[in-house]
Amino acid sequence: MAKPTRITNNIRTLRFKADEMSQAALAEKIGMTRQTIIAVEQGRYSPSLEAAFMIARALNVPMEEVFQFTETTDPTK
Amino acid sequence: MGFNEKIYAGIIATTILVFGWYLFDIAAMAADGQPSVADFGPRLWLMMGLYIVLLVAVTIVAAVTGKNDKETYDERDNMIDLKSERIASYTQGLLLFGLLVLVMFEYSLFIIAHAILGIMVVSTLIGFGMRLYYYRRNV
Repeated sequence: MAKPTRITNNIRTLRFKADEMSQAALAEKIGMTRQTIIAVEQGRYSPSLEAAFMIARALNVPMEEVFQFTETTDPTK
Repeated sequence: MGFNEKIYAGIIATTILVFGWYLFDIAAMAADGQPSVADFGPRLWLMMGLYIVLLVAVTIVAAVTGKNDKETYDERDNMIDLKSERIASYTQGLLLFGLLVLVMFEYSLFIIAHAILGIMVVSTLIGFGMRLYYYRRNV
């Protein structure tokens, strides 16, 4: 089973705020596949830093509004 | 199912079909005694030719049925390729170690050559099977 990432995101919400942009439209805008956008939205795949910036730029918001890092008490986890 | 998944599923099905038929046929031949190159040579060429033709057909079918898929190869595809190939390489290494045992016990060249072919088939199936698994699991 794939290990869930500690990075959460608001891509789904932000897509709807951006004129209900579809996953396919976002994928095309940043040169990725729709499957990758689905995986990122579901938190199953953490994109590269470059891809994260491109997603934020495509949604016209700062990066920290798109992605958040979940803190845990144990730094090793 | 995306274009990549269709291709991988097609490759797996083709590999099982063609190599399965060949190895099954060769095993039956070997049960009756040690076949010579003249016995299995034509089958080997037929199998290779059939495999290439079927792979081309799979690619064409996937391209035609997925012509509306605006898909490109991105960093996630690359990651899935690397992860799958790593598992396939481990398997291949392990099976090649088993092959050394066949060599040590002085099995015939016919058996060793087909064991190598079998190892290549198994690692190919594992490589593409893992790709399909990762895509299906949305990793």
